[in-house]
Amino acid sequence: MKKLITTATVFIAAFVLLTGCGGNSATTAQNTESEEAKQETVQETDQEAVQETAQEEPVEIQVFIAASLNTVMQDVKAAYEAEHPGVTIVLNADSSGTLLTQIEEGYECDVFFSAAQKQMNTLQDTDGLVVEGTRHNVVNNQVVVVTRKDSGTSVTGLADIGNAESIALADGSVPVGRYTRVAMVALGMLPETDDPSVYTTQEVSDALGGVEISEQSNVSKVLAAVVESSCEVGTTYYSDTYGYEDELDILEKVSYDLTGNVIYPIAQVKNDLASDAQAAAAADFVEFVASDQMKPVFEGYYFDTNVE
Amino acid sequence: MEMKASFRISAGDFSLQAKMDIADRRNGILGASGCGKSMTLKALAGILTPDEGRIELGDRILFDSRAGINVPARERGIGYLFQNYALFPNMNTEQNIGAGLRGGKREIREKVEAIMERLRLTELSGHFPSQMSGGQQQRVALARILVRKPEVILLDEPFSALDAYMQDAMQQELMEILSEYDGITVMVSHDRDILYRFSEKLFVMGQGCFLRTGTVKEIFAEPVYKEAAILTGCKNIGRAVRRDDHTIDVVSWGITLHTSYILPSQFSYIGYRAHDFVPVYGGRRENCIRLAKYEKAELPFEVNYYVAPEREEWKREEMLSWFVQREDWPLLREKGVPDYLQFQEDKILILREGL
Amino acid sequence: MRQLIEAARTLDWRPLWISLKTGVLATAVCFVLGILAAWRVMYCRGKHRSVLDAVLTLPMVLPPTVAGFFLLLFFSRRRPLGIFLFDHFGIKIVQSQAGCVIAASVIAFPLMYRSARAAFEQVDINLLYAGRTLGMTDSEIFFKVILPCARPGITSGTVLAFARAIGEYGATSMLAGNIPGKTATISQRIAMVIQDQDYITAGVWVAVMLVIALIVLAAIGHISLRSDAGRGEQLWK
Repeated sequence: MKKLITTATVFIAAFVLLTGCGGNSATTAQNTESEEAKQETVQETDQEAVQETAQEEPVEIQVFIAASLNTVMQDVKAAYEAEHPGVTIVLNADSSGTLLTQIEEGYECDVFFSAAQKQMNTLQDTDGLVVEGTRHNVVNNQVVVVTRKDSGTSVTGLADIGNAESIALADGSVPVGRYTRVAMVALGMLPETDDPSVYTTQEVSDALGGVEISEQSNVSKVLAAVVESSCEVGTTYYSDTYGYEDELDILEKVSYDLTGNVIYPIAQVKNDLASDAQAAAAADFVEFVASDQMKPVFEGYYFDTNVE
Repeated sequence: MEMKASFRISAGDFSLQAKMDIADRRNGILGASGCGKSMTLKALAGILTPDEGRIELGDRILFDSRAGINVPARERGIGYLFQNYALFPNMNTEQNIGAGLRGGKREIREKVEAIMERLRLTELSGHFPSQMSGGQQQRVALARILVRKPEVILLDEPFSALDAYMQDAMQQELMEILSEYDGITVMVSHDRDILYRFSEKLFVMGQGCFLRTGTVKEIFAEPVYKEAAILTGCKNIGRAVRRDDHTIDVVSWGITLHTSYILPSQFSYIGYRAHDFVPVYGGRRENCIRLAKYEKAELPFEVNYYVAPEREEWKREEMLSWFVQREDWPLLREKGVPDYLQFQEDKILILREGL
Repeated sequence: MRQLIEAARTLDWRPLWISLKTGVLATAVCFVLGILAAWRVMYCRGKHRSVLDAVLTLPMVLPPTVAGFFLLLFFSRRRPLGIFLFDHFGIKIVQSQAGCVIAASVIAFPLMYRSARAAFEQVDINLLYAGRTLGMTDSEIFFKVILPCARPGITSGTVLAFARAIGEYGATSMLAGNIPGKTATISQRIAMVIQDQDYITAGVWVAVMLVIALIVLAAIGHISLRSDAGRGEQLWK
């Protein structure tokens, strides 16, 4: 018992100290900032609050993006910040599933840009954290089968991917992994089922005749595996091949008919810690990302902006 | 100052039942390995806690299971000399000795210097245990204990870590160091010579129990129990049957012994020390065993004969030992090996089974 | 080479400070808690001991992302502890630097704990008994004798913990997020830039990690050399 108390006390003391430390550094103090902002907006009149989209006061918005959007969003962020000097966009990039969990467990988030509808649906329907009317489909992404230029593979596309020596495949919980499985079901390579994402790597391997499959936990790892020749082929997104034109061959751009649309939706997330200015900025940013103005930016990175 | 202890400790299959009344200055506990001697000492010191019982020192109660008293080791005022001395390897001599002392720096330094002087450790004050010999380490360990002026000092097999030829010198030294100490000392050993030399009172242990208590001489002369006899060095133990008040059939050796005194009613063994035989040349006399078949072993200062029992069939363990000291060698050289060995009736040990 | 230097000059150095801070603080936490835990568990008996051992070693066995997931649930702002901390103290562990340190500490803890345990078990138990009969309190014995004697094992445990903490990725990214300038550690940065095929920047960061590792190893090696068993310089008193 004494041990427990001693240990607990030390632990609590340690992390109270730490969180105090954390507050000193310049880039934290989310809370204090939104506190100040709240006080200011309370004093402002209604009309001003509606009008201003954070042109005067410095505001930070938390934007959670799927890992595959990291590169293109650097450009989008730069463009927005150039037009709105008072706004700082803080990006948090990770797999959509992880981001969803983080939001659910209390991360402060203003905008969620997911790599699949599934996570956005959960956020909206199950968690009720999506602000009404702010959900837009931004881009479509095409699943591609890739290989290194010099691999000499006999694989020509998804249908005969089982001929490869080894496959880099994201697991079912990662969007690209799920879409690949959906396409395989559509092609009859895997048995029909309601939710193909539950197929384990082992089951897929068995269905393909025991081919060696290296399971990856996110889409960047799939890409890395193929580029580094750890695996002969892999399935990834067309947008991910950006920058690898010299290394990779695209064996097949899998049709949307097989995978379904790989829509990347964006929406504003309800953030109870956000000031009004922060929320306004977030809403504005969402519109900005979905606007026609940004389409060329996305297309430049091999995203398909033909969405409806 | 008296120390009374009566307690029980059970650990797995082994159970120790201890009962000691200590009133002398120098006490020894004699027992075979694994009999619970160290355990007894550790319980007295407070390192181990008995399952039940009571330990008193003078008018202080150190342990009483019924009253829920258990004075921690550091408050008992009992020093403990470990078999491997347990010196702190990261401290030098001076620091080791001063480790348990409380008070001002100067006070402590004076006490430490005084005891180092007394035990001739001053030159070694900056040495670390790994840089010292076994004997030196023992002195440091003793100094560390003595500087706290304990009421009792317990010594756990103090010489077993030393070479044979060092043991003698160390025993001398220990006796000298402790001669100035007027508290109670209790030494534990399996070596009877050391205890014979050191103890005024001896406690003999069997497996997990205390068999016999008395002065050293008493116990050596009359062990009473077979186990005690063995521990005190009696080499010849034979199973025996009481035929009548004056006759013993020693079954193991195939002979019969007659005594002029009346034999005790209850006993099952006979003991006879290997040095006590009288060589007999010529015809058989009373209380003799024939020296027909034997083996001989020559040692530096002793010649040992191993004599077969007078029976048809016998086992090697049942052979009798006769140790001949140097003084008697001329006799043997002159007359040769004797025909018989005679038992002296006053040296016959009548023994019971202790357990 | 020139590219490397050029990249180094234009680098955003924030991940370095975040990683260093995380590494150092986490190591400090592990040092204290690991030693404490090892000492206490040593003197437990029987079944309790093996259960405690298992629980305290668990983070080492779990994949870091899983450990991070559990931590996220534990500190979640939508669950009891997180709510309590936020409402009463305004403390948010998720998405914060404190979260980085906590995640790294949890992951690195078993390394320190097991090293300390092994080190303590090497120490002769008679030293503890001797200390007691000499009138020393258990904590005196611990700081003056046991700890100094266990120094080599504890030092190596510290090194292991630091290495693990500063390189931590999976658990920190779950609990603290991948926020540049706030919680994005060097490891996360390297992963990001590799994804973008920027091997040059990755190379710079790898070099930085190596330098840190070398400095730390040298420093710790120096401290433990200065006092080997024979000299007995005491760490704590």
